[in-house]
Amino acid sequence: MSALSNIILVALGILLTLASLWYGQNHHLLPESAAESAPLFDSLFNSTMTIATGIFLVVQGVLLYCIVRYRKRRNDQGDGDPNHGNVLLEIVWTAVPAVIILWLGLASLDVYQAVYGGADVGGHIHAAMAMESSHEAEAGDPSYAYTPAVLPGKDMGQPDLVVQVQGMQYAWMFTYPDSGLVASELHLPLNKRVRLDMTALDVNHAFWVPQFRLKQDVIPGRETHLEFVPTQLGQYPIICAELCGPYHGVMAGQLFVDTPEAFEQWQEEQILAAHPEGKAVALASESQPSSAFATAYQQRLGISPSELSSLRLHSGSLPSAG
Amino acid sequence: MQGSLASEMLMVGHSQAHAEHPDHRVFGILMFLVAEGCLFLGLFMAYLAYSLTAPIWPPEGTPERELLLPGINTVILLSSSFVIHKAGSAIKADDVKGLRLWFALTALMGAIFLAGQLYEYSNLEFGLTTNLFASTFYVLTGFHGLHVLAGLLFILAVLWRSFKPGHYSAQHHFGVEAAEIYWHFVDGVWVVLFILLYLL
Amino acid sequence: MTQLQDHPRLAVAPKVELELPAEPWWRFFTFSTDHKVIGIQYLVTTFFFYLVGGALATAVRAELATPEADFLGFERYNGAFTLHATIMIFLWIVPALTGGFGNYLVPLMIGARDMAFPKLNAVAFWLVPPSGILLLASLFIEAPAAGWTSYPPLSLISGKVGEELWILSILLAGTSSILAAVNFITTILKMRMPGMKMEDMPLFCWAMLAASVLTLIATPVLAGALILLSFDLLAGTAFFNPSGGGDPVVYQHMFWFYSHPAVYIMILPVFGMISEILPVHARKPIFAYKAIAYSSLAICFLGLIVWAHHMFTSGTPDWMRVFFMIATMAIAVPTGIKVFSWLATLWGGKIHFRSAMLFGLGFVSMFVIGGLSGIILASVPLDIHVHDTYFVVAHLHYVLFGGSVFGIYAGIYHWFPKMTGRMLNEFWGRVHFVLTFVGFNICFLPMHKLGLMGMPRRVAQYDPQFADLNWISSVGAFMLALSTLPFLVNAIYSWVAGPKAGDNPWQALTLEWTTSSPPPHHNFYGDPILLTGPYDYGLHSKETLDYFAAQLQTLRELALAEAEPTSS
Ligand code: HEA
Ligand code: HEA
Ligand code: CUA
Ligand SMILES: [Cu+2]
Repeated sequence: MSALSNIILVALGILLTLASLWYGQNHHLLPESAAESAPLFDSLFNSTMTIATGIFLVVQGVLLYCIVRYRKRRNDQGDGDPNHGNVLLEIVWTAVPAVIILWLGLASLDVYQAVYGGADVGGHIHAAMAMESSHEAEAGDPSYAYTPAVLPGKDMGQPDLVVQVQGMQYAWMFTYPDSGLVASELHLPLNKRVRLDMTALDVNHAFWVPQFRLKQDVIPGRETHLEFVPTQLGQYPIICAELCGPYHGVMAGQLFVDTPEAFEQWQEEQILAAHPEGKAVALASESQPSSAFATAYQQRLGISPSELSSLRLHSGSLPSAG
Repeated sequence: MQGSLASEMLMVGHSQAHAEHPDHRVFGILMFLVAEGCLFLGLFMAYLAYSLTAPIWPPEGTPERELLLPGINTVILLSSSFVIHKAGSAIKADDVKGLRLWFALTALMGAIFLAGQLYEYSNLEFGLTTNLFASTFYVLTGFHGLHVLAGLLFILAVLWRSFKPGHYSAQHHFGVEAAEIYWHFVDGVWVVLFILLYLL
Repeated sequence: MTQLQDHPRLAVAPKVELELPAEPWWRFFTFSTDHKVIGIQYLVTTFFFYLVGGALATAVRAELATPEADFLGFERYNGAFTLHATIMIFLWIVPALTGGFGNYLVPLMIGARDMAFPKLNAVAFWLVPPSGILLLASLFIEAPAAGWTSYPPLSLISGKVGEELWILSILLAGTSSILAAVNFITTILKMRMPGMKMEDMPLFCWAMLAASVLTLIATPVLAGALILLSFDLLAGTAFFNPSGGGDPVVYQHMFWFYSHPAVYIMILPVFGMISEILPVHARKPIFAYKAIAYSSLAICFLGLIVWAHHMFTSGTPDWMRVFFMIATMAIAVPTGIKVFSWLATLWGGKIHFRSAMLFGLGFVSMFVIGGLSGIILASVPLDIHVHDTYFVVAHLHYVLFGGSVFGIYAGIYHWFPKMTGRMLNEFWGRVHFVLTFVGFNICFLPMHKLGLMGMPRRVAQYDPQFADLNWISSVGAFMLALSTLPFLVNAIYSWVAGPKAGDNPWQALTLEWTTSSPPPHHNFYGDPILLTGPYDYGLHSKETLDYFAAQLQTLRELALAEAEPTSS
């Protein structure tokens, strides 16, 4: 190989690395991040994008090069170079991806550990459909505790707030066990560790907040969990990410991250509203889940009242599981 | 892959022109049984998943199962594997009479097994939808029962054909071999089933 | 390296084209046991289903062109994408690749006169139309609406009739695949012509072997899951119904134990075809034959132990998620071996840009994108964010359309002359390629961003912030639909009136090109002879090639003389 081609190769390599690094940081593919663990996700995603961009450029680059350089010339009826293997090359292109994969696996494990370290993500099966609230018992259950093979797990301690989440065709319902409050919106205090204990009443749903980069299926007959710390004030969509029927796409909820004071105030208002007038406001969501969902939905998309009532009709007529 | 291979290959002569290709049916049956085995394996794994994750298994209130009758049934089915093996050996020695005798005996034993299972069904205190255990019990044994029935019909068909003079001989007895292999398979599945459903 | 470059084109085919009659046309409408007839029956039938599945996809994209559910409406939308995916997977890609190309090519490539069990082969094919009729019927009676994954409990309450039709249809299609797999394994292991060792086989046969092993092991488990689901649906048991003590997650495990390997059933044969097509049109031996052959087996093995990567958010225990993540990522290694070997095959070649090659190159390019998004999905923390979003939809279309469908088109352009004896029109082939390639990327590239930004899949109505990208995607989809037309017209016209192809229009070296196009009833004139390795491009001198052609010529004349009295 001549000196010139060596220089060109090195230059291409540097260019490739720079391009990948740049795109890995500037892809604009993710929404804002609003939870403690989300930046971990983002940095893992960016590194992965960097690698993927690099591999993409190498493969497409070589392909294009071959297409241009080794196209059949006019009047050339001959065959190409009858080379049919090169052990060294083969070893290299087996080993390099293996190393990349190993790195990516370990990095993923690391982030996974940090995000899910203490949470009992596996969930457990209820004997029956009924919601149980014996989380204390299973918190110590070692069968789901993940023993890290590579990196020490981060002990996240007890959550500051536990909320019970119920998914049903086509609405979310949130119960705050400390106060007994039931609401159709999820309000959370800023910078507090929250644990969601989730179950479904009919079919599978999934709780997803894109800005938190967190998702968990909500399954009838078992309880699943999510643990996180919201770090940005604001309003975020809760999206149902598991097909749950015709209106799966409009099963949206709202998540509000409040300052601790605003959170307290909201809770008090809700309780006040609920008690004197006999469960009128706060529990409205329980008796009429579709209306709560539809209201939330109305806010988001600006749906017309007639569409709204037809929606309600449909969801009302759906049979339940069993 | 080398050029030299080519000239070597040219030596391969005109020898096998239009000859019937050798009989691969036994190999085919074996492959098919791999698939059947995976079907049962899938069902067994589902059963294990249920039994291992449930707090109490079988679920509370499942009536005790009687072991005597299924035990006898198991012994009958297992011994029938030896009987059908005798049939295979008989035809390899060109003994068609022996073949008929042992096949008839196997068929009889299979029929007794099925009758026993039906008797057991009719005396169980739970039905298909009583609980998860009951459902798995009926589906697994029922599915296996269907396979026994298929094997039984297969054996009877071979028996029927063995009365045609010269149909089976020491050289040509694919039907006999296939029936035997299939029967052993059905037997093997039962052993696993019995352990899972009755003993564990 | 260069001393061979200036010899005339390879031509391992007899000069005088004497032919035995191929199958008459009406045999294609009967219960034929000829593997070539069955192969074409599969291809034509499944292409019809592709059009139906594509029409449904076009309806789906029409619905998604605007944020409101104003075209199909909520209920019909779910039925549309469920049937779209079911038809595409079970009635198009799987049967077209294994049943179609597998049947047509495997016996020819290994020098056999037919499959090991021709009757069984025909039975397997004839299970496909009833399976399709059931699904099509469901379109008019009651469409299954729980997605192609059909997770309970939703599938138990979204319409009994539609769901049961779906189950029966898949049980039929599954039985067909299992029977075909028995046939392929036996044929490949036992029916190779004398003197052909495993490592003399064309790589397509290795790929078919790996795919058939997967079919044989995994499909029955899906059948088991569907049988249990049927009991839940019709007999009131509760295997997957939590209100009766059952567990919906058990269904997911059983479903993905099949459906993950199924994606390799849908790509391994394509890998095989690409390994055939690239060397022919680049005029070079395949690079690293053994590595490609054994990586198929590695993918087959790894493919069986990664299924739970579809269930990272299903409440799967931690150790399982970690195990399945690592195992899934490992598949990048054998797949990378193939990709890099293909690139090395092109390197230093003399690439003819015929339509077959364009689709072949398009395959390599697009599949890698799908593979890389697959690696992102394999990482548990990343998948948790993008699971069940359009990112997954983007991934699956890059591997299934950019991979499998591009591969099938490449295969059709490459083997059409052999199958029909006529050439396809090159100009319209190129138009087809450009439209497909551009339309495909417009349609599916934006979906990556949609998913990452927060658009879930399987929704008829979505947040207006996603309207623009969805509109672009729909435009791409219509372009894709349009792109099928030049192909259809080209294929139908050329089949009837295209120019004659001759035995070996591409100067290829595998055995199917040494017989006439289309091949006679028992494939070869006299006994097939293995004149060269399958990929020995540039390795033989002109004299050797002439000698080969003379040998074939003699054989054919002998065989024809023998056949003369009977054929008249
Ligand atoms: C032909 C079909 C096909 C193929 C080949 C693949 C290939 C792969 N798939 Fe894909 N997949 C699907 C079809 C397919 N998939 C479908 C249909 C779904 C959705 C199902 C549904 O939910 O409806 C799905 C979903 C899916 C998921 C679940 C997503 C979710 O629901 O959350 C995951 C997760 O791990 C995944 C991973 C992979 C991986 C790692 C590969 C790998 O095999 C890819 C390997 C290839 C490469 C990596 C590129 C080439 C390699 C190199 C150039 C070497 C260098 C590379 C590196 C070092 C990274 N796929
Ligand atoms: C091999 C598999 C395959 C193929 C080829 C395709 C091809 C296409 N797919 Fe599909 N798709 C899947 C497999 C496939 N898909 C799967 C597995 C899912 C997941 C489903 C689920 O969630 O359950 C899915 C889901 C899916 C979605 C997501 C739905 C949702 O989640 O809400 C979308 C949306 O855009 C889509 C679009 C398309 C488009 C535009 C094409 C185009 O490429 C199609 C191009 C069109 C044609 C080639 C037809 C042209 C012909 C005509 C228009 C003429 C009509 C003729 C007659 C009627 C005879 N697909
Ligand atoms: Cu609830 Cu989708
Ligand atoms: Cu998969």
